[in-house]
Amino acid sequence: MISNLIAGISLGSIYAIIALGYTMVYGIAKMLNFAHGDVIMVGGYMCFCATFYLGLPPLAGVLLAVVVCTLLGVTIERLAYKPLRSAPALAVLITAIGMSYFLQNAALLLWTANPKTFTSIVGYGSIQMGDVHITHVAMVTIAVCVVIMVALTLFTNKTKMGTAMRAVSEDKGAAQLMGISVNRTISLTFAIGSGLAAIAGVLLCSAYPMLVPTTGSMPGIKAFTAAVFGGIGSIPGAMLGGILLGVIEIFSKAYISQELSDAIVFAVLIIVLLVKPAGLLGKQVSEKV
Amino acid sequence: MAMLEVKDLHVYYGLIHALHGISFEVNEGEVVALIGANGAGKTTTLHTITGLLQAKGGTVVFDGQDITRKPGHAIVRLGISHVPEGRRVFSNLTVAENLQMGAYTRPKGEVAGSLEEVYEWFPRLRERKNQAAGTLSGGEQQMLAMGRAMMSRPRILLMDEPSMGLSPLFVGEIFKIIEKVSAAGTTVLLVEQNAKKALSIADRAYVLETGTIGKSGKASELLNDDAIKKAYLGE
Repeated sequence: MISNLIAGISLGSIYAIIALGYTMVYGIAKMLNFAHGDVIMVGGYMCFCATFYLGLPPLAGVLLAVVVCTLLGVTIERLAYKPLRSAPALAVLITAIGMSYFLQNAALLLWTANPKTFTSIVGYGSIQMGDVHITHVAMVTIAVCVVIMVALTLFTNKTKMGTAMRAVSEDKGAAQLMGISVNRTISLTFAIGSGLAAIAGVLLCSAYPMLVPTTGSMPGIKAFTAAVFGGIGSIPGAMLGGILLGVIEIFSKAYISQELSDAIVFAVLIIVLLVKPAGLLGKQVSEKV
Repeated sequence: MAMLEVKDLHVYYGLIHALHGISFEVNEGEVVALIGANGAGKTTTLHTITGLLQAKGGTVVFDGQDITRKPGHAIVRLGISHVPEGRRVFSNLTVAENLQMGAYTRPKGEVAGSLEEVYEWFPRLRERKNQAAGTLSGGEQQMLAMGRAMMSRPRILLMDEPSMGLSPLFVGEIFKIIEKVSAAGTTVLLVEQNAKKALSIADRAYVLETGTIGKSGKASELLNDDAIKKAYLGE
């Protein structure tokens, strides 16, 4: 029971870190970046290449993954989304889906479809306390998630740049009148989201070591679900949504059905959205006139 | 040379030709009012000056520098501050955070001093500094929008319909503050539908009629102009 809870929180922490990227980009740029999940995969491959081919220590691998993904996220925004800033939302959404396939195919070309076996960055040890069994990966994942959550909350609430981000997410025109560069704020958001995706990728591959070009798509969709579940646009919502989703998934697998676990997760999402359409911590959006 | 010179400005909303080549100027230290009916292009004019809209033709010159094509976020740094129509305070941010955003372009060390100044202008904002701006009344939000604009220490303040939707008591208070801002040395370009109020505190005024400048002149003269009285002052 407690082992399952911890496994759930650990998986949920990964969803939460990914969901942060979705929710921040949605909050600022008002778009769903469906290529976000594939940035996770790129992060996984980067760390794999650094440790396996270059023989670098795991931490250097993580660092490389974060740097590459941050640059990748900013580049994707510049090239694919920025020209569509005033286009209809559907055009942007389709572009994002296209970008997702582009990344998957590029990975296929670079690394082929053969699965790579990712070596966990923290090894495969675990600790045993009575009946409770906790892997090192799970402990590190949860710890990293807590650190990210605290850091991001402090950043958005206490720093000038974070406050500017919240201002842009509310009213781009008024923010611009304050002298805030909306374009630079959006770039920064993509940078943070993609850097977090890289970390999520490394953690994900450490827990589930098989790395293929589509590795990011399912966790990406689940994290998106988690972001909606918690209330898209809300940072604490993404955290809560991610962790709840992970726990529900693991419990469904353990006690109900291995095969139906994803269906159960989405059923819970639908019920929550029926009761609270804005998500658990989402704000009821009032249209401005 | 005028501080702000707008020359032959043409602005479109898609296919709609909103401004048909308007020209006017504001001299340092003046209060200039831009009056006119709904849809005449008053807000469009201000939006084009501060870069929220791009002009198709014509120029905006500030202090001898052509700013027509300058990116919007760079304009406030020149000393132009805009209090937008409908106030547009950041409702999820606190009053203090809104004011800090007003000083976004200024060095960190100067912000505290300006914050103190704004709180002295608007004591009510100090009382509510930790409250989310969305919870303020309309009049308080207008004060916050003005205070936020003053935080950049502008040389010219553009105000769009500051009296809109406010009770007469607040309207009086807001106009008193505009006079004080002007007396303290800030140039003011005031857009108002409340023509009487605007003309009563302005030095000069321009009348906008569906995208062109109609009459213009000293505010005191326009206030006694029969055609203006009939069309805008309801007399």
